[in-house]
Amino acid sequence: MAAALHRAVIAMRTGVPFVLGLLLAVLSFVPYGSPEFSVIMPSLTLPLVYYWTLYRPDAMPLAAAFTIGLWQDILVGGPLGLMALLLVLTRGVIENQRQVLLTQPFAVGWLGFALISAALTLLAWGLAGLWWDHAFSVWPFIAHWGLGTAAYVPLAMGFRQIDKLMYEQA
Amino acid sequence: MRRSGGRAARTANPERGLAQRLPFAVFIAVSFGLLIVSKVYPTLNEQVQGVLIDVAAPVVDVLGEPVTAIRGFGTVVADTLNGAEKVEKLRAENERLRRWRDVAIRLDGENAQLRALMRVSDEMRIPSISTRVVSDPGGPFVRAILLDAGAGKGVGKFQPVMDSSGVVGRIVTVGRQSSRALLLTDLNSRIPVFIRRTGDRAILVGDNSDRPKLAYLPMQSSARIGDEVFTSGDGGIFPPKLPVGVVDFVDGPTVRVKLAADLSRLDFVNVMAYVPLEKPEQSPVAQPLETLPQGASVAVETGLDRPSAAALPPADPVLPSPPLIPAPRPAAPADPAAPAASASREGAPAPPAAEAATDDAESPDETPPPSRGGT
Repeated sequence: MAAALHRAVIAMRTGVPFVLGLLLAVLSFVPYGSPEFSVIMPSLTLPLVYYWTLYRPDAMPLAAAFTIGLWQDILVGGPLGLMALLLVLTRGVIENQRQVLLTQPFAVGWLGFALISAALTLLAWGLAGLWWDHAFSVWPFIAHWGLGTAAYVPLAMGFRQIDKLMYEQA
Repeated sequence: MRRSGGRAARTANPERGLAQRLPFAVFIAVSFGLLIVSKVYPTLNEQVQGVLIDVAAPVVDVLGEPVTAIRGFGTVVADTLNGAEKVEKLRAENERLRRWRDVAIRLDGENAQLRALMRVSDEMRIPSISTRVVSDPGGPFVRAILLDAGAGKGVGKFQPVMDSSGVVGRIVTVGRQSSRALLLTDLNSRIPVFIRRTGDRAILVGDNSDRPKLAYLPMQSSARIGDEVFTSGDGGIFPPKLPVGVVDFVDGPTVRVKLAADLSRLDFVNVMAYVPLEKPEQSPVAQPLETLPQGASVAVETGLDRPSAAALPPADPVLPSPPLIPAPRPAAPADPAAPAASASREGAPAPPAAEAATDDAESPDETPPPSRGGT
């Protein structure tokens, strides 16, 4: 009984961030009624993978980050693998740097997110340009990055609450 | 909080470091592999996406419900606050449309008479499928939307997508229950159009901005702000004379079009069950006349091989047929218009044609409604 309960808790701890990632990916695509906003709509999955890799890496395995990215690629309808690549990179890079970031205040973690999301946005801009043979305007990407960086704070606060529920009360 | 081993741990235990890095490398390789395969094999990518959107669209649809409800509530509040002003505006519009209805009835009668005189018998009604828009583009890469209708309701690749004002885009991916439409603003969107006033033909090219540009306009084109732009039907992918928008920017060779369709209010759209034209060499026209089967006279006359409305899969709901679309002219191999149409499909400029002649004489006031039924 105790073992089954333990397994259920473990499954919940890895399952919740994964399902949350799938849902957040969808939220970028629901019709908000504004084409301008739709274009610069931030990726909500990047903060999710960053947060969980930083604070609970066991709850965000590489396969989960990859699947969330692939799901987002399917929703976009463009190149399969692009968002998957970005989220796997986030998972890999942040896991390497988490020792440093964990000892710092929240603002430094936020700065870390801003930096890695800037690098990944640049990479996405370049890869998308190669895939479509088109030089994309950088402005939508800059706005996309800026909004994503701003969205990290409320999202991280929300993730923290879920984290508390799962780890401190479970 | 458990902390996984960092660089020091990996140095102390190289096998563990390798075990950590190997899955990372594998996932990176798989992601790159997918990127390359989807680029090199676009048809395969499209087929895979066709299957996957049937999974994605219902999820987006369900999660979008609360957002749609909030938007609907906001619209109701705004309408209530501006009720009197709205009523006045609608009353004026109603009056204007009533005048246009009279014009349309008169033109329809004239049109029927002229068709009878010219013995043009093949006037087609293209059924359309009304469907909900399930998703926004959601990002800086693609301007595409998911629709709540797929092959099961008769949606097919390349079919034009319209809102009540004009062309929105075309179908690019078809699933069983859902489909994806590429908006005219997407950088991969190319549709042949003509300017109604001048008859100049061009290709409307999306560039991810909200106002696509006109490419391959004739050098001597006198396009000016306010000119109406319609589909030309060149290439046979789109039916001719669907309203696209108006020219709203001219700066030397750069001409941009403000779309008639309101992309910010795409709740419902109509997918026109239009079947693209066959290439001339595949058309029955290419066969000697004596080998044609019985009943092929219409195909010979129009160069078309389209299903009738009755032959299409049942669509639910099917709106009353949209305005009449005239049958394109014969596209026999000997017809010089046929290669021109094919060329324009490839992005080459097409020569102006007489069918794009203006009919400004019928404009009683303001901007006339799109004349889709004229011969």
